[in-house]
Amino acid sequence: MSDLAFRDLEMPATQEPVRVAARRLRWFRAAFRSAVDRVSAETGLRFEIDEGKLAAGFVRWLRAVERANPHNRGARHAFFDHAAGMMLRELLRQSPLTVTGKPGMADKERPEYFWPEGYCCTVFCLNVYALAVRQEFGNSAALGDAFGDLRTWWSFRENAHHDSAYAIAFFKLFAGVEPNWDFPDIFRWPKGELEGPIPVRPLG
Amino acid sequence: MELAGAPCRPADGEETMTPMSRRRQGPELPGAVVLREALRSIRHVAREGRDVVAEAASHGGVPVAQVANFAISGAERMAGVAEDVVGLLIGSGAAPLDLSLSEMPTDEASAACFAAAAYTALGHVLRGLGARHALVSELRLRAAFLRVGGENASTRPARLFVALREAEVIADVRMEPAADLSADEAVRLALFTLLLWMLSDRDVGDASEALDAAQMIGLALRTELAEAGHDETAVAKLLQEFRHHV
Repeated sequence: MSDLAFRDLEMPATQEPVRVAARRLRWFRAAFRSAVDRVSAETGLRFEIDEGKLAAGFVRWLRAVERANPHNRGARHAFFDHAAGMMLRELLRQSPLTVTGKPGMADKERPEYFWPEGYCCTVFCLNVYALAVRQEFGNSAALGDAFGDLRTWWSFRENAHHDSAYAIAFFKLFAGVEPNWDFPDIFRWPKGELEGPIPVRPLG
Repeated sequence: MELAGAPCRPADGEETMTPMSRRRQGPELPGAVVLREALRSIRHVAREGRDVVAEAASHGGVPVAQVANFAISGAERMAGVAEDVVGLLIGSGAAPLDLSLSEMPTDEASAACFAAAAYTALGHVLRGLGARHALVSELRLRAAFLRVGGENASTRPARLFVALREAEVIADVRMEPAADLSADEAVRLALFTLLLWMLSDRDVGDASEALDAAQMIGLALRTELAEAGHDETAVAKLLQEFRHHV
Protein backbone atom coordinates (compact mmCIF):
# COMPACT_ATOMS: atom_id res chain seq x y z
CA MET A 1 0.00 0.00 0.00
CA SER A 2 1.25 3.39 -0.89
CA ASP A 3 1.38 5.57 2.20
CA LEU A 4 0.10 8.73 0.55
CA ALA A 5 -3.03 9.40 2.52
CA PHE A 6 -2.68 12.12 5.15
CA ARG A 7 0.89 12.80 4.23
CA ASP A 8 1.90 16.19 3.01
CA LEU A 9 1.09 16.04 -0.68
CA GLU A 10 2.78 19.39 -1.27
CA MET A 11 -0.49 21.07 -2.04
CA PRO A 12 -0.23 24.51 -3.66
CA ALA A 13 0.79 27.33 -1.39
CA THR A 14 -1.95 29.72 -0.38
CA GLN A 15 -2.27 32.62 2.02
CA GLU A 16 -5.84 31.62 2.71
CA PRO A 17 -7.16 28.89 4.99
CA VAL A 18 -7.61 25.65 3.08
CA ARG A 19 -11.36 25.72 3.73
CA VAL A 20 -11.45 28.96 1.69
CA ALA A 21 -8.84 28.03 -0.92
CA ALA A 22 -10.56 24.71 -1.62
CA ARG A 23 -13.64 26.65 -2.64
CA ARG A 24 -11.72 28.45 -5.39
CA LEU A 25 -11.40 26.49 -8.59
CA ARG A 26 -7.89 27.73 -9.36
CA TRP A 27 -6.54 26.24 -6.10
CA PHE A 28 -8.77 23.17 -6.33
CA ARG A 29 -7.43 22.35 -9.82
CA ALA A 30 -3.83 22.91 -8.79
CA ALA A 31 -4.28 20.80 -5.65
CA PHE A 32 -5.90 18.01 -7.61
CA ARG A 33 -3.08 18.02 -10.17
CA SER A 34 -0.58 17.96 -7.33
CA ALA A 35 -2.27 14.95 -5.72
CA VAL A 36 -2.42 13.11 -9.04
CA ASP A 37 1.26 13.81 -9.67
CA ARG A 38 2.22 12.46 -6.27
CA VAL A 39 0.12 9.33 -6.65
CA SER A 40 1.72 8.81 -10.06
CA ALA A 41 5.20 9.25 -8.66
CA GLU A 42 4.56 6.82 -5.80
CA THR A 43 2.72 4.13 -7.74
CA GLY A 44 3.90 4.35 -11.33
CA LEU A 45 0.31 4.87 -12.44
CA ARG A 46 -0.34 7.46 -15.13
CA PHE A 47 -3.55 9.49 -15.31
CA GLU A 48 -5.18 11.92 -17.68
CA ILE A 49 -7.31 14.65 -16.11
CA ASP A 50 -10.47 15.84 -17.81
CA GLU A 51 -10.52 19.46 -16.67
CA GLY A 52 -14.13 19.95 -17.74
CA LYS A 53 -15.33 17.07 -15.60
CA LEU A 54 -13.20 18.25 -12.72
CA ALA A 55 -14.75 21.72 -12.91
CA ALA A 56 -18.24 20.24 -13.18
CA GLY A 57 -17.59 18.19 -10.05
CA PHE A 58 -16.30 21.29 -8.28
CA VAL A 59 -19.41 23.29 -9.17
CA ARG A 60 -21.73 20.50 -8.05
CA TRP A 61 -19.76 20.14 -4.81
CA LEU A 62 -19.99 23.86 -4.03
CA ARG A 63 -23.72 23.82 -4.49
CA ALA A 64 -24.20 20.63 -2.49
CA VAL A 65 -22.17 22.08 0.39
CA GLU A 66 -24.17 25.30 0.30
CA ARG A 67 -27.46 23.42 0.37
CA ALA A 68 -26.46 21.10 3.20
CA ASN A 69 -24.60 23.59 5.40
CA PRO A 70 -26.47 23.91 8.71
CA HIS A 71 -24.59 27.15 9.54
CA ASN A 72 -24.33 25.91 13.10
CA ARG A 73 -21.06 26.32 15.02
CA GLY A 74 -21.67 23.17 16.98
CA ALA A 75 -22.00 21.16 13.81
CA ARG A 76 -18.89 22.60 12.20
CA HIS A 77 -16.46 19.70 12.63
CA ALA A 78 -19.08 17.11 11.68
CA PHE A 79 -19.96 19.15 8.64
CA PHE A 80 -16.31 19.34 7.59
CA ASP A 81 -16.29 15.51 7.66
CA HIS A 82 -19.42 15.42 5.58
CA ALA A 83 -18.40 18.14 3.08
CA ALA A 84 -15.15 16.34 2.29
CA GLY A 85 -17.15 13.18 1.68
CA MET A 86 -19.40 15.13 -0.66
CA MET A 87 -16.31 16.27 -2.54
CA LEU A 88 -15.38 12.64 -3.12
CA ARG A 89 -18.95 11.81 -4.15
CA GLU A 90 -18.96 14.52 -6.83
CA LEU A 91 -15.52 13.56 -8.11
CA LEU A 92 -16.57 9.93 -8.45
CA ARG A 93 -19.77 10.99 -10.18
CA GLN A 94 -17.87 13.05 -12.72
CA SER A 95 -14.91 10.67 -13.10
CA PRO A 96 -12.31 13.25 -14.14
CA LEU A 97 -9.50 10.69 -14.21
CA THR A 98 -8.57 8.13 -16.82
CA VAL A 99 -5.72 5.70 -16.28
CA THR A 100 -3.29 5.96 -19.17
CA GLY A 101 -0.53 3.73 -17.87
CA LYS A 102 0.25 1.15 -15.21
CA PRO A 103 3.54 -0.30 -14.06
CA GLY A 104 4.26 -3.79 -15.33
CA MET A 105 4.20 -5.40 -11.89
CA ALA A 106 1.05 -3.68 -10.60
CA ASP A 107 -0.38 -5.76 -7.74
CA LYS A 108 -4.17 -5.74 -8.00
CA GLU A 109 -4.40 -6.82 -4.39
CA ARG A 110 -3.42 -3.27 -3.46
CA PRO A 111 -6.13 -0.58 -3.50
CA GLU A 112 -4.20 1.84 -5.71
CA TYR A 113 -3.98 -0.75 -8.50
CA PHE A 114 -7.36 -2.33 -7.81
CA TRP A 115 -9.19 0.97 -8.40
CA PRO A 116 -6.68 3.68 -9.37
CA GLU A 117 -9.16 6.45 -10.16
CA GLY A 118 -11.12 5.95 -6.95
CA TYR A 119 -7.93 5.66 -4.94
CA CYS A 120 -6.47 8.86 -6.37
CA CYS A 121 -9.67 10.89 -5.80
CA THR A 122 -9.92 9.51 -2.26
CA VAL A 123 -6.32 10.41 -1.45
CA PHE A 124 -6.92 13.94 -2.74
CA CYS A 125 -10.06 14.42 -0.65
CA LEU A 126 -8.50 12.90 2.47
CA ASN A 127 -5.54 15.23 2.25
CA VAL A 128 -7.55 18.39 1.63
CA TYR A 129 -9.72 17.34 4.58
CA ALA A 130 -6.75 16.64 6.82
CA LEU A 131 -5.19 20.02 6.06
CA ALA A 132 -8.45 21.85 6.71
CA VAL A 133 -9.14 19.98 9.96
CA ARG A 134 -5.63 20.70 11.22
CA GLN A 135 -6.03 24.41 10.45
CA GLU A 136 -9.55 24.80 11.78
CA PHE A 137 -9.56 22.53 14.81
CA GLY A 138 -5.90 21.96 15.57
CA ASN A 139 -6.19 18.20 15.58
CA SER A 140 -4.76 15.73 13.14
CA ALA A 141 -7.10 13.52 11.21
CA ALA A 142 -6.46 9.81 11.77
CA LEU A 143 -6.60 7.38 8.90
CA GLY A 144 -9.08 4.57 9.54
CA ASP A 145 -7.80 0.98 9.48
CA ALA A 146 -10.14 0.18 6.61
CA PHE A 147 -8.06 2.29 4.23
CA GLY A 148 -5.62 -0.56 3.67
CA ASP A 149 -8.23 -3.30 3.43
CA LEU A 150 -8.85 -4.48 -0.13
CA ARG A 151 -12.27 -5.93 0.75
CA THR A 152 -13.36 -2.46 1.87
CA TRP A 153 -12.18 -1.00 -1.43
CA TRP A 154 -14.02 -3.70 -3.33
CA SER A 155 -17.19 -2.84 -1.39
CA PHE A 156 -16.53 0.88 -1.87
CA ARG A 157 -16.24 0.55 -5.63
CA GLU A 158 -19.34 -1.65 -5.93
CA ASN A 159 -21.48 0.52 -3.69
CA ALA A 160 -20.33 3.84 -5.14
CA HIS A 161 -21.06 2.49 -8.60
CA HIS A 162 -24.54 1.48 -7.45
CA ASP A 163 -25.17 4.73 -5.54
CA SER A 164 -22.55 7.47 -5.43
CA ALA A 165 -23.89 8.63 -2.04
CA TYR A 166 -21.97 5.74 -0.46
CA ALA A 167 -18.77 7.58 -1.31
CA ILE A 168 -19.53 9.83 1.67
CA ALA A 169 -19.88 6.89 4.04
CA PHE A 170 -16.69 5.25 2.81
CA PHE A 171 -14.85 8.54 3.01
CA LYS A 172 -15.83 8.84 6.65
CA LEU A 173 -14.77 5.26 7.26
CA PHE A 174 -11.33 6.02 5.80
CA ALA A 175 -11.11 9.27 7.74
CA GLY A 176 -11.78 7.49 11.01
CA VAL A 177 -15.23 9.07 11.40
CA GLU A 178 -18.41 7.10 12.08
CA PRO A 179 -20.25 6.67 8.76
CA ASN A 180 -23.98 6.82 8.31
CA TRP A 181 -24.69 3.78 6.16
CA ASP A 182 -28.44 4.35 6.22
CA PHE A 183 -28.52 7.82 4.77
CA PRO A 184 -24.95 8.44 3.67
CA ASP A 185 -25.53 11.68 1.81
CA ILE A 186 -27.75 13.36 4.38
CA PHE A 187 -26.07 15.49 6.99
CA ARG A 188 -27.72 14.99 10.36
CA TRP A 189 -27.32 17.45 13.16
CA PRO A 190 -27.80 16.71 15.94
CA LYS A 191 -27.18 13.04 15.26
CA GLY A 192 -30.18 10.74 15.28
CA GLU A 193 -32.64 13.48 14.42
CA LEU A 194 -33.50 12.12 11.04
CA GLU A 195 -36.17 9.54 10.39
CA GLY A 196 -36.94 8.08 7.03
CA PRO A 197 -37.66 4.98 4.97
CA ILE A 198 -35.97 1.64 5.63
CA PRO A 199 -32.45 2.11 4.35
CA VAL A 200 -30.60 0.05 1.79
CA ARG A 201 -27.52 -1.64 3.20
CA PRO A 202 -24.26 -1.45 1.29
CA LEU A 203 -23.61 -4.40 -0.95
CA GLY A 204 -20.17 -5.41 0.24
CA MET B 1 -7.42 35.00 -33.08
CA GLU B 2 -7.15 38.72 -33.62
CA LEU B 3 -4.91 39.77 -30.80
CA ALA B 4 -2.59 42.43 -32.03
CA GLY B 5 -1.67 44.56 -29.08
CA ALA B 6 -0.36 43.62 -25.70
CA PRO B 7 -1.54 45.22 -22.49
CA CYS B 8 0.95 46.97 -20.25
CA ARG B 9 1.22 43.78 -18.22
CA PRO B 10 0.24 40.89 -20.44
CA ALA B 11 -0.90 37.54 -19.16
CA ASP B 12 1.68 34.77 -19.31
CA GLY B 13 1.82 33.11 -22.67
CA GLU B 14 0.10 35.96 -24.43
CA GLU B 15 1.44 38.08 -27.23
CA THR B 16 4.57 36.17 -28.03
CA MET B 17 4.78 37.19 -31.67
CA THR B 18 6.16 40.65 -31.03
CA PRO B 19 8.63 41.16 -28.18
CA MET B 20 7.52 43.67 -25.59
CA SER B 21 10.69 45.70 -26.15
CA ARG B 22 9.58 46.48 -29.69
CA ARG B 23 6.19 47.68 -28.63
CA ARG B 24 5.26 51.27 -28.33
CA GLN B 25 5.13 52.42 -24.72
CA GLY B 26 3.68 55.55 -23.15
CA PRO B 27 0.41 57.43 -23.51
CA GLU B 28 -1.94 56.36 -26.25
CA LEU B 29 -1.98 58.49 -29.38
CA PRO B 30 -5.25 60.28 -30.24
CA GLY B 31 -7.41 58.09 -32.44
CA ALA B 32 -5.14 55.11 -31.87
CA VAL B 33 -7.98 52.80 -30.92
CA VAL B 34 -9.75 53.50 -34.22
CA LEU B 35 -6.65 52.78 -36.24
CA ARG B 36 -5.91 49.70 -34.12
CA GLU B 37 -9.40 48.43 -34.76
CA ALA B 38 -9.06 48.98 -38.51
CA LEU B 39 -5.73 47.16 -38.67
CA ARG B 40 -7.10 44.27 -36.65
CA SER B 41 -9.94 44.01 -39.14
CA ILE B 42 -7.45 43.91 -42.01
CA ARG B 43 -5.48 41.22 -40.24
CA HIS B 44 -8.64 39.25 -39.56
CA VAL B 45 -9.73 39.39 -43.19
CA ALA B 46 -6.22 38.40 -44.32
CA ARG B 47 -6.19 35.37 -42.03
CA GLU B 48 -9.70 34.37 -42.98
CA GLY B 49 -8.74 34.68 -46.63
CA ARG B 50 -5.65 32.58 -46.08
CA ASP B 51 -7.76 29.80 -44.56
CA VAL B 52 -10.32 29.93 -47.37
CA VAL B 53 -7.58 29.71 -50.00
CA ALA B 54 -5.86 26.89 -48.15
CA GLU B 55 -9.13 24.99 -47.94
CA ALA B 56 -9.76 25.50 -51.67
CA ALA B 57 -6.21 24.45 -52.50
CA SER B 58 -6.65 21.17 -50.67
CA HIS B 59 -9.24 20.21 -53.29
CA GLY B 60 -7.15 21.26 -56.31
CA GLY B 61 -4.10 19.95 -58.16
CA VAL B 62 -0.53 21.24 -58.26
CA PRO B 63 -1.24 24.43 -60.32
CA VAL B 64 -4.05 25.39 -57.96
CA ALA B 65 -1.83 24.82 -54.96
CA GLN B 66 0.89 27.05 -56.47
CA VAL B 67 -1.54 29.89 -57.04
CA ALA B 68 -2.98 29.31 -53.59
CA ASN B 69 0.45 29.43 -51.97
CA PHE B 70 1.09 32.77 -53.65
CA ALA B 71 -2.22 34.09 -52.32
CA ILE B 72 -1.57 32.69 -48.85
CA SER B 73 1.86 34.32 -48.73
CA GLY B 74 0.28 37.64 -49.65
CA ALA B 75 -2.38 37.28 -46.98
CA GLU B 76 0.20 36.37 -44.36
CA ARG B 77 2.36 39.37 -45.29
CA MET B 78 -0.67 41.63 -44.99
CA ALA B 79 -1.57 40.17 -41.61
CA GLY B 80 2.03 40.54 -40.46
CA VAL B 81 2.25 44.18 -41.52
CA ALA B 82 -1.01 44.97 -39.75
CA GLU B 83 0.27 43.28 -36.63
CA ASP B 84 3.59 45.13 -36.66
CA VAL B 85 1.95 48.50 -37.19
CA VAL B 86 -0.35 47.91 -34.27
CA GLY B 87 2.45 46.73 -32.02
CA LEU B 88 5.17 49.18 -32.95
CA LEU B 89 3.40 52.39 -33.77
CA ILE B 90 0.07 52.35 -32.03
CA GLY B 91 0.38 50.15 -28.97
CA SER B 92 -2.54 48.45 -27.40
CA GLY B 93 -3.70 50.89 -24.76
CA ALA B 94 -3.05 50.65 -21.06
CA ALA B 95 -4.77 47.63 -19.60
CA PRO B 96 -3.78 46.64 -16.10
CA LEU B 97 -4.93 43.09 -15.63
CA ASP B 98 -5.71 43.60 -11.96
CA LEU B 99 -8.62 45.89 -12.56
CA SER B 100 -11.80 44.99 -10.71
CA LEU B 101 -15.09 45.54 -12.45
CA SER B 102 -16.95 46.29 -9.25
CA GLU B 103 -14.59 49.18 -8.46
CA MET B 104 -14.37 50.78 -11.89
CA PRO B 105 -15.96 54.20 -12.37
CA THR B 106 -17.83 54.87 -15.59
CA ASP B 107 -15.55 57.26 -17.41
CA GLU B 108 -13.59 57.27 -20.65
CA ALA B 109 -10.33 56.19 -19.01
CA SER B 110 -11.96 53.25 -17.25
CA ALA B 111 -13.77 52.30 -20.43
CA ALA B 112 -10.43 52.23 -22.26
CA CYS B 113 -8.89 50.04 -19.55
CA PHE B 114 -11.88 47.74 -19.49
CA ALA B 115 -11.89 47.37 -23.28
CA ALA B 116 -8.17 46.72 -23.58
CA ALA B 117 -8.17 44.12 -20.80
CA ALA B 118 -11.36 42.55 -22.13
CA TYR B 119 -9.89 42.38 -25.62
CA THR B 120 -6.87 40.40 -24.43
CA ALA B 121 -8.90 38.18 -22.11
CA LEU B 122 -11.53 37.39 -24.73
CA GLY B 123 -8.85 36.33 -27.19
CA HIS B 124 -7.38 33.93 -24.63
CA VAL B 125 -10.78 32.54 -23.67
CA LEU B 126 -12.05 32.15 -27.22
CA ARG B 127 -8.93 30.21 -28.13
CA GLY B 128 -9.51 27.99 -25.12
CA LEU B 129 -13.07 27.37 -26.21
CA GLY B 130 -11.91 26.20 -29.61
CA ALA B 131 -12.33 29.30 -31.76
CA ARG B 132 -9.96 29.51 -34.73
CA HIS B 133 -10.79 33.07 -35.70
CA ALA B 134 -12.88 35.80 -34.15
CA LEU B 135 -12.99 39.55 -34.47
CA VAL B 136 -13.16 41.28 -31.10
CA SER B 137 -13.99 44.98 -31.20
CA GLU B 138 -12.28 47.15 -28.63
CA LEU B 139 -14.38 50.12 -29.77
CA ARG B 140 -17.62 48.26 -29.14
CA LEU B 141 -16.35 47.07 -25.77
CA ARG B 142 -15.70 50.68 -24.78
CA ALA B 143 -19.08 51.87 -26.03
CA ALA B 144 -20.99 49.10 -24.27
CA PHE B 145 -19.15 49.78 -21.01
CA LEU B 146 -20.08 53.47 -21.15
CA ARG B 147 -23.66 52.77 -22.21
CA VAL B 148 -24.33 50.44 -19.29
CA GLY B 149 -23.13 53.04 -16.79
CA GLY B 150 -22.31 52.52 -13.15
CA GLU B 151 -25.67 52.69 -11.41
CA ASN B 152 -26.80 49.75 -9.33
CA ALA B 153 -23.51 47.93 -8.86
CA SER B 154 -25.21 44.62 -8.12
CA THR B 155 -26.85 44.37 -11.55
CA ARG B 156 -24.13 46.10 -13.54
CA PRO B 157 -22.20 42.95 -14.55
CA ALA B 158 -25.32 41.21 -15.84
CA ARG B 159 -26.43 44.34 -17.71
CA LEU B 160 -22.96 44.48 -19.19
CA PHE B 161 -23.22 40.83 -20.23
CA VAL B 162 -26.42 41.55 -22.14
CA ALA B 163 -25.06 44.81 -23.57
CA LEU B 164 -21.87 43.14 -24.81
CA ARG B 165 -23.89 40.45 -26.53
CA GLU B 166 -26.25 42.93 -28.13
CA ALA B 167 -23.35 45.11 -29.27
CA GLU B 168 -21.77 42.07 -30.93
CA VAL B 169 -18.37 42.84 -29.49
CA ILE B 170 -17.31 39.39 -30.71
CA ALA B 171 -18.09 38.80 -34.36
CA ASP B 172 -17.24 36.51 -37.21
CA VAL B 173 -16.35 33.53 -35.02
CA ARG B 174 -15.07 30.47 -36.76
CA MET B 175 -14.64 27.39 -34.59
CA GLU B 176 -12.03 24.71 -35.01
CA PRO B 177 -13.51 21.59 -36.62
CA ALA B 178 -12.92 19.57 -33.44
CA ALA B 179 -14.62 22.10 -31.16
CA ASP B 180 -17.82 20.88 -29.55
CA LEU B 181 -19.29 24.37 -29.13
CA SER B 182 -21.17 26.42 -31.68
CA ALA B 183 -19.94 29.95 -32.40
CA ASP B 184 -22.95 31.41 -30.55
CA GLU B 185 -22.29 29.30 -27.51
CA ALA B 186 -18.61 30.22 -27.54
CA VAL B 187 -19.52 33.91 -27.58
CA ARG B 188 -21.93 33.49 -24.66
CA LEU B 189 -19.39 31.52 -22.62
CA ALA B 190 -16.56 33.92 -23.43
CA LEU B 191 -18.53 36.94 -22.23
CA PHE B 192 -19.68 35.20 -19.08
CA THR B 193 -16.09 34.12 -18.39
CA LEU B 194 -14.84 37.66 -18.90
CA LEU B 195 -17.28 39.14 -16.41
CA LEU B 196 -16.83 36.37 -13.85
CA TRP B 197 -13.06 36.85 -14.08
CA MET B 198 -13.36 40.62 -13.68
CA LEU B 199 -15.60 40.18 -10.65
CA SER B 200 -13.46 37.50 -9.01
CA ASP B 201 -11.12 38.13 -6.09
CA ARG B 202 -8.14 39.44 -8.02
CA ASP B 203 -5.64 39.56 -5.18
CA VAL B 204 -5.49 35.76 -4.93
CA GLY B 205 -2.94 33.99 -7.08
CA ASP B 206 -2.24 34.39 -10.76
CA ALA B 207 -4.60 36.35 -13.01
CA SER B 208 -4.28 34.02 -15.99
CA GLU B 209 -5.06 31.00 -13.81
CA ALA B 210 -8.11 32.86 -12.59
CA LEU B 211 -9.17 33.44 -16.18
CA ASP B 212 -8.81 29.73 -16.97
CA ALA B 213 -10.75 28.83 -13.83
CA ALA B 214 -13.52 31.27 -14.75
CA GLN B 215 -13.70 29.64 -18.15
CA MET B 216 -13.99 26.17 -16.64
CA ILE B 217 -16.80 27.36 -14.37
CA GLY B 218 -18.54 28.90 -17.37
CA LEU B 219 -18.29 25.60 -19.22
CA ALA B 220 -19.69 23.74 -16.21
CA LEU B 221 -22.64 26.18 -16.25
CA ARG B 222 -23.09 25.86 -19.99
CA THR B 223 -26.68 24.59 -19.87
CA GLU B 224 -27.80 27.13 -17.30
CA LEU B 225 -26.25 29.95 -19.29
CA ALA B 226 -28.04 28.83 -22.42
CA GLU B 227 -31.32 28.78 -20.51
CA ALA B 228 -30.60 32.21 -19.01
CA GLY B 229 -30.29 33.73 -22.47
CA HIS B 230 -30.66 37.51 -22.11
CA ASP B 231 -32.30 37.26 -18.70
CA GLU B 232 -30.25 39.72 -16.64
CA THR B 233 -31.56 38.38 -13.35
CA ALA B 234 -30.55 34.81 -14.12
CA VAL B 235 -27.09 35.84 -15.32
CA ALA B 236 -26.61 38.11 -12.30
CA LYS B 237 -27.48 35.22 -10.01
CA LEU B 238 -24.86 32.97 -11.58
CA LEU B 239 -22.18 35.66 -11.48
CA GLN B 240 -22.95 36.38 -7.85
CA GLU B 241 -23.00 32.70 -6.93
CA PHE B 242 -19.54 31.98 -8.37
CA ARG B 243 -17.57 35.23 -8.21
CA HIS B 244 -15.76 34.17 -5.02
CA HIS B 245 -15.09 30.64 -6.27
CA VAL B 246 -12.87 31.36 -9.28
